[in-house]
Amino acid sequence: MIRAPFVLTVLALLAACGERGADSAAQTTSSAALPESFTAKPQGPVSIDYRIIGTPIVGQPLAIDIEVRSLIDSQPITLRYRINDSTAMELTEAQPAEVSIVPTQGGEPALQQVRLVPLREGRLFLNVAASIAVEDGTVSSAIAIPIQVGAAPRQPEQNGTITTDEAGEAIHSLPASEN
Amino acid sequence: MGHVRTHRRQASTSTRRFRLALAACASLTLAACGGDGRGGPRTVTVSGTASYEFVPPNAVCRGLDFSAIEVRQIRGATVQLLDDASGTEIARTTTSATGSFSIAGIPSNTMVRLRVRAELKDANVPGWDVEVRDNFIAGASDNDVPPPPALGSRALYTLDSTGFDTGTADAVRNLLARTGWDGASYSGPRAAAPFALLDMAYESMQFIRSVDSNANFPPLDMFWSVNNTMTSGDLDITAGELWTSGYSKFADSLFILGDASLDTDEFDNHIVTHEWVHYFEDVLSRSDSEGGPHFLGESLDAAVAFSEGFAEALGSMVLDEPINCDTTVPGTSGGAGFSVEGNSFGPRGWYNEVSVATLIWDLWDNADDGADVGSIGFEPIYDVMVGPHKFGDSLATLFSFATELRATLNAQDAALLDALLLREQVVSGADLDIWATNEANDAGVSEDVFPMYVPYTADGSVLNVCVNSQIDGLARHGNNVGSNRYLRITVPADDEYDVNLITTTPIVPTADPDDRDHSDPDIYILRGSGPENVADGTTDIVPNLEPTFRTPLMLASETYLAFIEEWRFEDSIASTTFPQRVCFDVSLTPTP
Repeated sequence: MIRAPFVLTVLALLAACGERGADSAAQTTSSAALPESFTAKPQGPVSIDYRIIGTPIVGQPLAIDIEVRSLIDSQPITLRYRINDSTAMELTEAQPAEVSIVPTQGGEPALQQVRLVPLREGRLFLNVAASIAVEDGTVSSAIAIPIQVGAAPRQPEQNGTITTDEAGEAIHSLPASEN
Repeated sequence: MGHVRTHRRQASTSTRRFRLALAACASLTLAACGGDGRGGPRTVTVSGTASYEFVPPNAVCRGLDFSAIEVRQIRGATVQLLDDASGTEIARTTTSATGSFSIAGIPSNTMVRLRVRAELKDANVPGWDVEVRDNFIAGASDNDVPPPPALGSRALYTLDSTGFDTGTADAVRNLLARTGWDGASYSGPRAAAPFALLDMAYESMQFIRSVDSNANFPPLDMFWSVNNTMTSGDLDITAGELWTSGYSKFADSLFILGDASLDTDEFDNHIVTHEWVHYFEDVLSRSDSEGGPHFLGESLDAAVAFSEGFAEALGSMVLDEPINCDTTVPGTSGGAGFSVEGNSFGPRGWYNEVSVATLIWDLWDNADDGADVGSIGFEPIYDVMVGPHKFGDSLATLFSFATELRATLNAQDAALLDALLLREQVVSGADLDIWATNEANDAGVSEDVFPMYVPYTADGSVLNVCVNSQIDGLARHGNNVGSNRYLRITVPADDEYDVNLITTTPIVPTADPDDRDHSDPDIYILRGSGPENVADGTTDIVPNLEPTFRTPLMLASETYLAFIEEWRFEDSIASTTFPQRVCFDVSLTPTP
């Protein structure tokens, strides 16, 4: 099975996208054939995976298992947990915001569990960053673990104004600094 | 107070006639100048410069350096002059290569405003068509029913001036897109970001045009939002939940992170150009990469390693900067980088994207170091990427690239290429071919790597091949050395062929009803010289096999490839006891 969710998502979002390109660049041969490609930016030699234990409920402690894999076997990994919105959730009292773990040999993941308490409903994010010291500094990887508490949606950041221009096109207007 | 009488001297007749004549002449003059009856011109010119703030990285890529903000020009973008009240377009132009614009013939004494659109438009052939849009829609999701608006109709970013009166004299209005950074955080509108992305596309296209003035760029959308965050959950573009910054072949689009609490990429130029290069591969060259997560130093599938390494190399060439930075949270020292001038991650080999990147960079750069004692420039590399590498029979790997490139080089440059291949522990010289026939570096995976393309004749015979997740382990990326197996297929006659793929490794189901514990073999039949997908079997209907399917007409004169994978190797909820090595019986049978 190909990576269906992404493929279906993008196919659906391409509907009615036909106006552009009809009279622009000449047809080119698309590159070969494997359809499920979402090429991603390179990541440091540390990968992070997670598993949420149980159902998130406001006011109740929630455990998340973190798996960290490192391509640099011998170096300890520093895990940092960060909650950007302090009204959304908090680490439990006994949970440190930073821990150091020793990677296992042979590519097996190092396991950690983080415990936190959701403070409200919504789509909340726990940021987890894993860093390793290398010869000329540190390399790190980071993820945002989505935690859906109840049915409320995520609270987005605002930036500029979304409107429609005279031609009916959706515009995301950002103000200029002028002189 | 007494009344003061003043006396005006009565003008002589000749003087009066002269004055009348003068008045008439002045009237004519005013008419010719578009006089508005108030003594000014009817039209004016509005000009200026459009710029954006760019934030470079700190030394050694430890975060963004807001103390070193640079003002850069917005090049090649559409500028509109709009009626301030109605928003109706009065005129439009395009910024120059120095960001300047000038719009003449604008009605005087009119309230207008300027709008710089985050787009590059050239409808000529060769041309381009780039737009920077906001993929995020508050409260919406990709999974909504009915679905959200199509990606191509999402809001286009614009930089807007306030309204101003054109007056009666030419006006200069300079517009600047600021970062929104207040010294401690993003508190203002983040106007610079979309234009930073736009400028990277402009820069990249100009680099290509430096060797091919006829390069014609199909439409490209670049999506960014302050709400684009990196998630390990399901992808949801509309909700801004991305796996990371990346390029989608399906959508011909880049998606760039913007969540300032986790990771922003709009000012990480190497990240943006890296993804732009994947667009270049997709529309002008070739990539057979299946994509997915990849880590520096990882032992990757050959097509993945080449695509990623080439993107790092070409992105660095575009920027003329070997150090690739990827910063994380603005205002912190978060970030990391590597240099394509030196491989400091993982073992050298055809499977290591950093090996590929450093090799290609060293072919281009003029700095001699070690085995790198020359330069072939970009043109030969470009010519191969849009020529024989694109239409070759094999997949696009370092082997096909190096073989095709080597055939175009003189003896001195071929020797440089061979030296760099040797340095990266890749077969070279007369032993080099597009099929990796003589390659011996197996990344320590003793089984299921070589031959890279297993020869097979489509006569109905059954071939047993295996895939191996030794490198991938439980990461479940499915794009490592051994994760996939390739066949090189010879068809004996022009015919349609029935494809069979059956798992032969015994799979023991677990007691967990929710984990996917059966094999899900997939196969793609490709024609490399197309390149094109001829047919594929990628269902998950029947455990442990792919139902027989029939190809369209295949020609005996062509060479075909098969790409075989075990999809459980990419399945994040596959059973943890799923075998590391899975074998299949595969056959292509002529149809009666």
